[in-house]
Amino acid sequence: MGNLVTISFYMIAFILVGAALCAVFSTRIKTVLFYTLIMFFAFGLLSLQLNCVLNGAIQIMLGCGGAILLLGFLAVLTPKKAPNEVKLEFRPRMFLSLGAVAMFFLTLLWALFDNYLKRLLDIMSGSLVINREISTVETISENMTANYAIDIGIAAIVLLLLAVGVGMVGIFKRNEEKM
Amino acid sequence: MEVLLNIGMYHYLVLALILFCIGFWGLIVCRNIIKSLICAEIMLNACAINFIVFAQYLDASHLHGAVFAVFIAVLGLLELGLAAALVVSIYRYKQSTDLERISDIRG
Repeated sequence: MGNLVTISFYMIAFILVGAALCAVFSTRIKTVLFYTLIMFFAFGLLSLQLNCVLNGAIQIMLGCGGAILLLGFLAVLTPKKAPNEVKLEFRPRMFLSLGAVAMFFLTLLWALFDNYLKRLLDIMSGSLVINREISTVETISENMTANYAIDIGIAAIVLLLLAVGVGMVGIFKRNEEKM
Repeated sequence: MEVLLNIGMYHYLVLALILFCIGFWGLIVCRNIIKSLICAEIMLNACAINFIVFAQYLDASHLHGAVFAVFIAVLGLLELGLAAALVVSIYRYKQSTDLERISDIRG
């Protein structure tokens, strides 16, 4: 169990520091705001890990509110283009980050609807051991749901890590090219 | 290796220190007003982490630090809201968000 707490701490720490560095180093305002949102989410996760549920919830709500604000900001500030000028391009950073945020919300919704939020928080704070043993028929769906929610949560954190890592590499490469 | 694997109070404090340093450095270096605000927010959140960690490890009730953390979060939110309004009005007036160009304040 200690391993899970350790891994989640280092993941969150990497996300926090990486997103903070990305926000400070990036030159475009949209990128700064985007990494700030990721930072808020990571702050929320860290607070949840430290059993400070209220602050964690506030930080995550700030992240959600910020995401909506960012959408509005992009809608207002992005220059209007004719439909035939709009190009669809694959952006790995944006794709990974949006995927991670979507998966994180999916986990939260799943945990909320299945009444497993407390269990998820207990696991993150290290006060509950994951029980993957399925003993009776009645507990099959319960255990499977909880385990899937945890797996998706971990996958979301890994995706966030990837997104921040790719973002950091991109920003430092761009800075090198400028220099 | 054992020290790195057993997560305790000092790990969180080091993380908060790193974040505070990043925020402080950015606040000094960045000339853009929006980035300066984000850096101030990073510093505030680093302080909030300290409060939460001390409440978790040193306070028996786990409550006082959490209340301060929520207070800091609300304070940061208010600061961002106020600063956003200021940025918009300064941008309309100066056509720039460069802090170096903002040298006069009129009522």
